[in-house]
Amino acid sequence: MKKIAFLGLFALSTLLISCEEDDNNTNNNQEPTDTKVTPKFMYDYNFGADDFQLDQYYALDGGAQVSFSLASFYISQPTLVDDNDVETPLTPEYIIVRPGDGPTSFDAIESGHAHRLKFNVGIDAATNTENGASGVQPSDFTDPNHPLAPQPEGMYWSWASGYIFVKLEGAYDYDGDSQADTTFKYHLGVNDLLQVKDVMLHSDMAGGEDFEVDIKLDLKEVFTNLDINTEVLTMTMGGPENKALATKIIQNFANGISVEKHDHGSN
Amino acid sequence: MVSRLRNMITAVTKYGLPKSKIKKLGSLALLSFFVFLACTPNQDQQKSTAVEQPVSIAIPHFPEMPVPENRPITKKRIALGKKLFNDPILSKNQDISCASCHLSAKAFTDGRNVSTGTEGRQTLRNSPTLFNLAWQPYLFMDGGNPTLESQVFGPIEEHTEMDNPFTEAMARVAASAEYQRLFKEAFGDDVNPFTLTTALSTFERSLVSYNSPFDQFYYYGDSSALSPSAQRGLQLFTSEALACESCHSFPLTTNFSFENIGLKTHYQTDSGRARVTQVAADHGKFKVPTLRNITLTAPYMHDGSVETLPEVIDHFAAGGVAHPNQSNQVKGFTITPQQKEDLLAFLASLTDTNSYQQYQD
Repeated sequence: MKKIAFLGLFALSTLLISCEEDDNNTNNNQEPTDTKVTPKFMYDYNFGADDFQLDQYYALDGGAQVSFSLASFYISQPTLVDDNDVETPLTPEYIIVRPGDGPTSFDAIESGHAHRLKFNVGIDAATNTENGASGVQPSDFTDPNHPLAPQPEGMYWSWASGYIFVKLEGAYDYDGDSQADTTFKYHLGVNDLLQVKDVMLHSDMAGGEDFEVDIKLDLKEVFTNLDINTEVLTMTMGGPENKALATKIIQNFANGISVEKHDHGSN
Repeated sequence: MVSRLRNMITAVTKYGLPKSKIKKLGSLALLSFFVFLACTPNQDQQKSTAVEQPVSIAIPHFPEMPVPENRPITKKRIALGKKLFNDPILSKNQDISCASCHLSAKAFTDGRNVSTGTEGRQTLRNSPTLFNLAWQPYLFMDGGNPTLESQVFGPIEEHTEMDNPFTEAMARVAASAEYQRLFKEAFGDDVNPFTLTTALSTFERSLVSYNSPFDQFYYYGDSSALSPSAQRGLQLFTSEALACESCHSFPLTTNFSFENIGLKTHYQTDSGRARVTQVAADHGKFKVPTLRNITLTAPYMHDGSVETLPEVIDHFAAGGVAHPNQSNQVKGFTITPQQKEDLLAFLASLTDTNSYQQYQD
C-alpha cells in the first residue's frame, strides 16, 4: 500500500511537468534568478528637445512645422556583446516599435558585462523577402500578434515583397499656421538599406535584476538635408530618385537613434 | 479511483495472476496513466491537424503544380476561398470583392482597360486572368510579389482597389460566426494571416485551364479538335518568322519572362519591372501573360490600351516603336489577311473555361 501511495505521488508529480513545447513567439519573461538578468528596451521618442507625440506639430527650420501620423519601425536581431566579443542574441528577435510603446522585455540571460549592444533598424536580409527570394512573409503567421504578421499600418509592401523597415507619414505646414499644406510618406526598406546600430554600453549586468536600456529616437534628425517642399514621397522602389531619398531618410533616422543604459535617476 | 483499481486487481487475481505481480502491474499502469496525461498533445494543437484529404490537381501535359507542403489543397479550402473571393467584406467600404475585377464570365478579368476600385478609383493596370496562377513564379505584371499568399495583401490594401488594411479585413472575417465555422472545418484553426491567405490562394490554385481544343489537338492527338484554319494559325504561331512561342511557350503559353514589346516610347506612368528592380534596362518590361482564354480577356496589354486581338497582331506585325529596351523577338513580320484570320482562329482554340469546374463545389 505504501509502495502504491509512493508511486501514485510520483506519478502525480509527472502530471505537473508539461511535455508541451513553448510557443516560439512568446516571451518567457522568466523571473531572473541570482545569476540571470532580464534585459529590457525602454523606448523614448523625441523631437529635438521636446517629447514626441503623434499628430502634434513640431517646429522645423525656417518657420515650417511637421506632424507625424505614423512613425513605426522594426528592430531585429538585438544582441549584447561582452568585452571578449562573445555575443548573446536576445529573444524576441523581432520587435515593431511605435510611439508610446511600453518596454520590450527579453528572455533572461546570464549576468555579466554588456560591453556593446547591436541591433538592426529593419529586418535582416535572411528573413526579409525581396524579388522572390526565400524569407518570411506576413502570410506565414498563424499568430496575428507576431511582429512579422500583418500590422494595422501595413509594414510589408503589398505591391512588392519585403518588409517596410521604417514607415513615416504625416504632414508639413509650410507657413506655420498649424494647418497641413502637404502630406508626406516615407516608406523605407529593401535589404541594402538595413541600418545596423552598434553602440558601446560598457555596463555590468547584475544577476537578479533587470538590465534596462534606453532606445532614444530624435525624429528631428529625419529632416537633416531634407527638402520638405519637394522631397515628400518615397516608397524606396520605383526609380533611382526614390531609392536615393529613402537612403538619405533611413540614414537620418538611424543617426537619430541613441542608446544608453537606463538611469532611474533621470525619470 | 484507487478503490476501482483495487477491485480490478482483485478481479484479475481470480483469473490466475499472483496478487503481488498484479499490484506491481497496477502501479505501473497508474504511473503510465499519469505520464500519458502529462504528455498527451494539447487538444488545440491536435485540431490543427484534423483536416480532410488533400486534392491532387495533376495535369499530365503540364508541369507539376507547385503547392506549398504546409498548404495542401482541399475541397473545403477551395470552397472557403471562393466564398471570400466573392465577398466584399474584405474591402474598406464593403463594396469591392476580388470578383469585382476578376469575373468568372470573363475568364477572371473584367473587360475594362483598367479596373475600378472602391469609390470609383481607377487602377494603373488591366485586370489579368487568374487561370493557371498556380504556376506563376511571381505575381503582378512586374513580378513584384513572390507568392500567391503574400499577393493577397496587394489588392486588399491598395488605395485604388479595396483600400483596407489587411488586419481590418481579417478582423471582419474573424468576427463572422459563419466564417469562424468554415475556417474551423477547413483548417481546424481560427481566422489568422496564414489561414486567410491560404484559403484565397487555394481557391486560386484551383482555377486551372488545360483542356482547350488546342490541348486536345497538340497533346492528345485529336486532329479534329482544331479547324484547318486554326492548325495553320498554330504553324504561324510557332514559326520562326512570328516567333510568338519564344515568349508564349507551351503548355502554359508564357515563359514568365519580362519583356518590353515596344508598346510605348515612354513608360512614365508605369515603368513595369523597373518599378521593382529599379534597373534602367527593365523600364517598360512586363511579365509575359498567358494566352489561354485570350479571346475572353479583352482589352489587352498591361494598361488595356489595345482593344482587340487583331490590333494586337497589328502591333507585333509592325515591330513595335523601337524602344531602347525592346525585346529582339519583337521585330515585325509580314502577314496576309488570311494568315491573320488563321492566327486568330488558333488563339480562339486556347479557350477552356470548363476544366476548373471539377474542383469547385
